[in-house]
Order: sequence, then C-alpha cells, then structure tokens
Amino acid sequence: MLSKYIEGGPEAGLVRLAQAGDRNAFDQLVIENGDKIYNLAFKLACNPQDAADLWQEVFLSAYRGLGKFRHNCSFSTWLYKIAANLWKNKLIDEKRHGLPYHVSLDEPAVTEDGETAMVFRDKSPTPEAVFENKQRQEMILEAVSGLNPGLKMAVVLCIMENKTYGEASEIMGCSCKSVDSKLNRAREMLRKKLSAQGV
Amino acid sequence: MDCKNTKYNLSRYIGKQLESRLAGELEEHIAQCPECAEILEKTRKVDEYLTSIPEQKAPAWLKERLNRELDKEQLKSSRNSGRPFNYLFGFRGLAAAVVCAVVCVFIWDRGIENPPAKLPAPEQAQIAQKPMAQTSIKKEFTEVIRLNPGQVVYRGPEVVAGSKKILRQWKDTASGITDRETLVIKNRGEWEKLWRKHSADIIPAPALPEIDFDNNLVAAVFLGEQESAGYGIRILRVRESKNNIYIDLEETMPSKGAVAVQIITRPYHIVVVNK
Repeated sequence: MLSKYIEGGPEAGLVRLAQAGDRNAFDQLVIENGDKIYNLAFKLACNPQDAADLWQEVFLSAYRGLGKFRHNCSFSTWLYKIAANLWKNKLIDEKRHGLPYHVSLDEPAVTEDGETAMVFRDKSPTPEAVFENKQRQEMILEAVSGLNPGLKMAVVLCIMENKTYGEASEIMGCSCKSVDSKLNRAREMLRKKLSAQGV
Repeated sequence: MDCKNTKYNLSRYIGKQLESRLAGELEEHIAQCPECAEILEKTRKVDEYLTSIPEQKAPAWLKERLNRELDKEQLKSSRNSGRPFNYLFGFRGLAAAVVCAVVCVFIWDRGIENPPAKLPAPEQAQIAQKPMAQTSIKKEFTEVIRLNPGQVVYRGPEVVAGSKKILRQWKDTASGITDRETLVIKNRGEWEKLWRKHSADIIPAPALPEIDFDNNLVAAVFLGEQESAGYGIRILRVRESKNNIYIDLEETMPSKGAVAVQIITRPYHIVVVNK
C-alpha cells in the first residue's frame, strides 16, 4: 500500500514546485501557513503593525531562500525558524537603537484603506466582563513583552502555540534542556509579575 | 521531594514533561505544602491566561501586500537570471575556462616539441567562369486588407484565451489511480468520485476538499502506475476556447542510464482554476 507521506506529503510536493519557480505553488503555501505564522508573529510582536511587518518578512525571506530549504523538517517548521530568527534580530537591532517594544491592544490595525479597530473574539456576556478580560489580556501580553527574547520565544512556542519541547528546540536552535530551563524561569517571572499586579 | 526540587520541577510538571515517578513525588509534596500548592495554582493560572489570548488571522490586505512584494521579487529574479554572467555560471564558466586554457597550453607545448610535417600545397582548382545571368526583378505589392471598425478576422481553428490562474493544487507521486488519465471536473459529484478513487490508498481517508463549482473547475492529470521513482507529471497551464479546455502538461521520466529507486509511483497533479 502506498503511503501519502513518501515524500513528506502534498506540502512537500508544493514546496518542490515552488523551488522550481512555480509562483502559484508558493501562493498556496502562503494560504496554508499564513494564519499560523501571523498568530505567532502577533504573539511575538504584541501589536498588529509589527506583527504584519514580521509576517511579511517571514514569507519574503522564505521566497528568497527557497533554494536553501533541504526538506529535513516540515515547511511550517522552517517558517517558524525564520520567524524566530527575524524576531531575535529585530530585538537586537531595537535594543541597539534604544527603541522599546510595546504592547497595544487598542491601537487600530493599519490597512491600505485606513484604520480598522482590532476585534477580539470574546464570549463574556457583560461589558464589565469584556473589559476585565481585555485588561487581563493586555497585562499578560505586557508581562510577556517584558521577558528577554529567549524566554519569550519559549513561552510563545511551548505555552501559547502548544509546541512540544522537541519542536521548540528545533525552531529555537537549542537543546530540549535549554527550552525547559527557559520555560521554568519564564513561568516564575510571569507568576511573580502578575501576582504583583493582582491578576 | 522538598520545596526546592518541587519549584525546580514545577514547569515540567505543568507542561506534562515530568516522568511519572517524579510527578507522583511532586503531587505528594503539594498535598502537604500550602506554599508550593499556591505557587502551582498561580503558575497554572499564568498558563491559562496565556492560552486565552485569541487566535489571530492574517488580514486579507496583508496577503495582497505580500503578493505585490512577491511580484517585485519575481521580476527582480527574472531580470537577474537573464544576465549572461551570474554568480554560479561565472564560477563554473571560469573553472571551465581555466581547464581549457591548461589543456590548450599542454597541446600547444606538445606541438612545438613535435611540429607537424608541412602540408602539401593545394592543387589549383579549376574555377569555371560563367557569364552572369540576366535576371529581372518583378515587384509586387500585396493588397493590404483594411478592416472596418468592429470587423474581426479569425485565423486558425479557434481563438484560445490566456492561462487561467491556479487557485489550489495537489501534486505528489502516490495517487490511488493506476491508469493514465486527463480529466476536467465541473461538478461535485464527479469530484467526489475522483477524490475517493485518488485517495483510496490513504488511511484514514482525507476529507473531500470543498470547491465552488459555480465559479471554478478542476483539471487533473494522472501518469498511471510506474515501476520506479523519477517519473512526474505537471500541469503547466490551463486555457480555454469557446468550446474546449486546453491543458498544457509536462511529463518527466528518468534519463537513460539513471539510477532510480525501485518503488511503485503514481504521479499526479490536480489543480483548481477559475471558470
């Protein structure tokens, strides 16, 4: 019986087409991976403008570097690695220039046609509960923003994105033990910070 | 387990990465230590808040912006590939030139040591002299067909429109279809039948992808069962005329003498295009 995964599945076929110069195949890969990469970018950047820039840069870098992809991991893992490296380099650059990275859930998303407010899906029935929920989310994201890049990446990948230690270690380019140690420190820091804020 | 080791193992316990023996010891300590129990509870809450951040979707305008940037990249790379001397070609060309130069020097050097014998003088050839033929040049003017506004002249069998955009596609070498086939699918019933046959060997069977047949159609090519790897089939473009749909495709096979893995393959390419 033939298995669908002889060459890594249909995504591997699309990647090979894209590597051969098929633009439609690359567009399809963007459709299939776009939302999960945006989700990651938003959790790293904590604001929609930086998330949009990071997302675009991930796919442009992937397009330019398609020839370097050796099919030794899934395409989406490769995109995660690109995102992690780009984010790390951006933070190093910002630190060098003294720029802060900030959280804003209230800043509207900038679009080509103007600005639209960000809408969070929220099942709370009362306005007070909605406000409290939003406040808590802002405090969480602000607390995560305050972590150093390595701890933040571990939190975003292992807790928010539900990646295993193995997947996170591959994306971050470090050992599982290192991921565990980062998570331990990050959880302790977040717990103390949020406790101090009464969350 | 004491408080220090409990705090050390807490993160792994919450992430379900702690081995069961240590997890048991941690739980025993938590049951007896209110301080560690509170820390566990608060750390669990942190995880809960982190996972409550809603999933974000990439906005449509962002994808359009990316498409424009990718168009620019594509144009840039097509200009670069037209250059006669690019990086890789330059290195290979240079290496080849060096090898040729070395070989030429070697041959030239051998030539000087062993100069060839003089060639005999060529015999004088008799060249026939013919008088120049008189020719007359006739000029003819082709009548120009002037079209009246709105008048169209059709040439050839029929007019074929440009390529359709591929909206979605599947390509691999493991179809359940064993015969060579080229198909155009225009309704859900036929699509369901094709998908079932195509994914017959996959367990569990993948769900039928939903396609809007009011606006789209499916073109599918199957190379049939092949005895080795190295075979492939690809739809290059789909075009249509008033009455027909044209599928331009490319088939590949292992070159003569190439070593190919001896496994059964069934290459295919399925595309969804707009009507």
